[in-house]
Amino acid sequence: MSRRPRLLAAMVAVLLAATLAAPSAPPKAATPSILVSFSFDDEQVETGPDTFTVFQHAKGTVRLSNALRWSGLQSVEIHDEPADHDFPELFGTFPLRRAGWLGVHFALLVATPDEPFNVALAGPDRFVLRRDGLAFWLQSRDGFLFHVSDSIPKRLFRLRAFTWYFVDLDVDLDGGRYDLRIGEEGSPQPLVDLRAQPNAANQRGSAVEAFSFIGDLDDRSRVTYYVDDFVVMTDRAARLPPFAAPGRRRLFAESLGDLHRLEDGRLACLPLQAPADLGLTVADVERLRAGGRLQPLLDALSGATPATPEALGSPLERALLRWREGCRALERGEAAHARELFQQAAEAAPGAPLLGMSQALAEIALGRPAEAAEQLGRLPVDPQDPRRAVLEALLLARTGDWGAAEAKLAGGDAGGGLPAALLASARYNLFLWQGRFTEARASAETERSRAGAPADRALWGQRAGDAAFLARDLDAAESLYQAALQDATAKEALLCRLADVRFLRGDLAGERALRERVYGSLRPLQPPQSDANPRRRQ
Amino acid sequence: MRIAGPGKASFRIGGLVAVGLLLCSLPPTLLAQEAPSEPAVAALVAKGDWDGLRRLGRGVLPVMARLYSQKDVQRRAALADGFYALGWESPEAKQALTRDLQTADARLRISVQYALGRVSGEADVVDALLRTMRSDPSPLFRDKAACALSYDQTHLSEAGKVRLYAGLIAALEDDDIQVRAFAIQTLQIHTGQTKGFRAFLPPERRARAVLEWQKWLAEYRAQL
Repeated sequence: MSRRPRLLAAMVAVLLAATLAAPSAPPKAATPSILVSFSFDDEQVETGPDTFTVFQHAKGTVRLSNALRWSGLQSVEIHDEPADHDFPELFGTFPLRRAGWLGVHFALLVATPDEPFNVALAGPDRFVLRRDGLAFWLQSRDGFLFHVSDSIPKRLFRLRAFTWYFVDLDVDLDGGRYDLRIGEEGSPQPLVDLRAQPNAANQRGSAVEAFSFIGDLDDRSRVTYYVDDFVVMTDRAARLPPFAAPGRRRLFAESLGDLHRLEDGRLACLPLQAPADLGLTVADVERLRAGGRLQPLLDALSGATPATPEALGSPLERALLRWREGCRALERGEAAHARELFQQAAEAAPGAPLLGMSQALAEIALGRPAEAAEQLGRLPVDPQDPRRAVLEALLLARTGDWGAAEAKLAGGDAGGGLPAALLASARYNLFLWQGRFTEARASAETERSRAGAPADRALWGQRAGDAAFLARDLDAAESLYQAALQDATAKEALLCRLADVRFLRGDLAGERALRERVYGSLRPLQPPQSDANPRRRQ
Repeated sequence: MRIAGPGKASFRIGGLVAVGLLLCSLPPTLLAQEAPSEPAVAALVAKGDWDGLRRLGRGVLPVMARLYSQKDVQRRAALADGFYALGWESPEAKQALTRDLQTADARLRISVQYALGRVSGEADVVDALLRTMRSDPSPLFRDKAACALSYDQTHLSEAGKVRLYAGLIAALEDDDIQVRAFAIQTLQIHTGQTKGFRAFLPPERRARAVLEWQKWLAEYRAQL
């Protein structure tokens, strides 16, 4: 059975709701772009980075159900068990949105209304109340459904068992507000019709890119509930490429590796080598050390711990944490946002070399070579600093002058250490971006043979494997990935790449087995007890 | 916490993100084994084997509370860390720990401050920590009390949260800038917001932000 009519029904429902309710941030585009659409039927149940991830590592389950569904043949049943130290979760991401309108629709049925569960949309900081964290949060407690708005759980209505509810959300991302409507099966009037509610943490411009359906966080829930027809839409043009393989629109070796970094503008910040890079004087360092704040700040700046909230520390510390935040934004492809954050940091620490470099990097990522060159020209950086060479090479590569870019990276790494590693990575990337996979692999294998630490061996082995994979030398790629697995502590990225190898070999069962070790599996199991009362759409 | 695929974190990452905002350090945790009975529990505590304790189930709590009343300062601190790691509500644990809330031993006192909110959601725990945060002579204990209020009040009911927020909002008007800073940090960790409050702002600007917080609290309270 085709899923098109059901999807269309969901879209129409959302579009109608969006039109009739006159949301605070009406869609700007004539036709909203769909970011996510799951009816949990046919081929759309493969887990992966561009569909969803399923966690069910304890007693709780996430599985397809064909007994209780709003449309089509199947919904997803989420069932939690208490005291098992975990909770089941259906989790997924979509292209990040920080501005404009976002529409969300899903159908929800609860078999056990007195048991707690949570549904949320969140940004890159995930499921905490803060900017770029939770944006929308539905929670049930003591039989009532709540939405968390302005950091306050606000009661909506008492849930009824085995009743389909239809949640429609219009999010004004710029204003940090949403309209929420919840309809009930068989009732023409909405149960909930709220306008311009502050988002979960009352934050304007808070980004959204993830959804999650779970049981409870306190490990006390025995909830069973069902989700169907989940749709996320945006008013901004979003052309998602077709699926390249199950659960992913790009092969893992491409999306997780470095191949598309330059064209996507997903660049990594250059490393912090000394406090002076960020404009910290000796006196600043001593003051921070005396106050016990130096190590926490350095840990936050290195990314080892999360950035501290705005209320903490001096204005300079807060500005430097903006730099770290900017680096995270840059790595996920939010170059314009990163540039703003780097600018804020630079205003608090004028002349700090690494902040200038980061601003130049953001301009390169944005494809603005003239602005990047201007930033580079202002940099008070030692000409021998390899970070400058890397920046200049990136700028040249961005303008297509590959030969000059390579020349910038020649030599300069005889001393080993961080400069050598930085230059080696940049050279590898230049080969990769030009499609010179054989040379990229050779350079990665050379670095791998030089590497002492297992983590470095794993990194270079993975890079060599990526280059072999991109050259479609699948035997070599598999061998390199397997060798890297021996050295790697976090194995997920390598398992994903091995799934790619199996996919290209036509071994779909092998591909699925590897992919599902990372992303979980969504399969129908035996009908649960709560399916004893099947209901179908009229 | 788990990672939902490379570079993508799930709902469970929330806890991780929240850690480390104040200068808080968690009690140490070591790895697992098993055992029953009082000596066995004592051995697990001595090893910091919290997984082993957890495997024994909630019945371990009264045993730990009994041991707590018999042991020296160092072992009481280890037991407090054990209560913290388990995170299970326990009136016996609360009663035992409360006796050491004012102990002269700094290591034990910090462990007790951290553990109390993880064994009890009762109002007197929040009140005691708020008092410490606002008026203890030692800045270290004030800071650690703020840490405990930020991260470790895991059993609070909604009414308990309102009591905590009311105490923190009252502390925004404290004469001591450090207390005001602790209070806004803790509020921000719980709510993600500052409502424009900064501890160092002049009184009239702080007063405007405090008014916002008071309105917010009234709305929160109305939802109970």
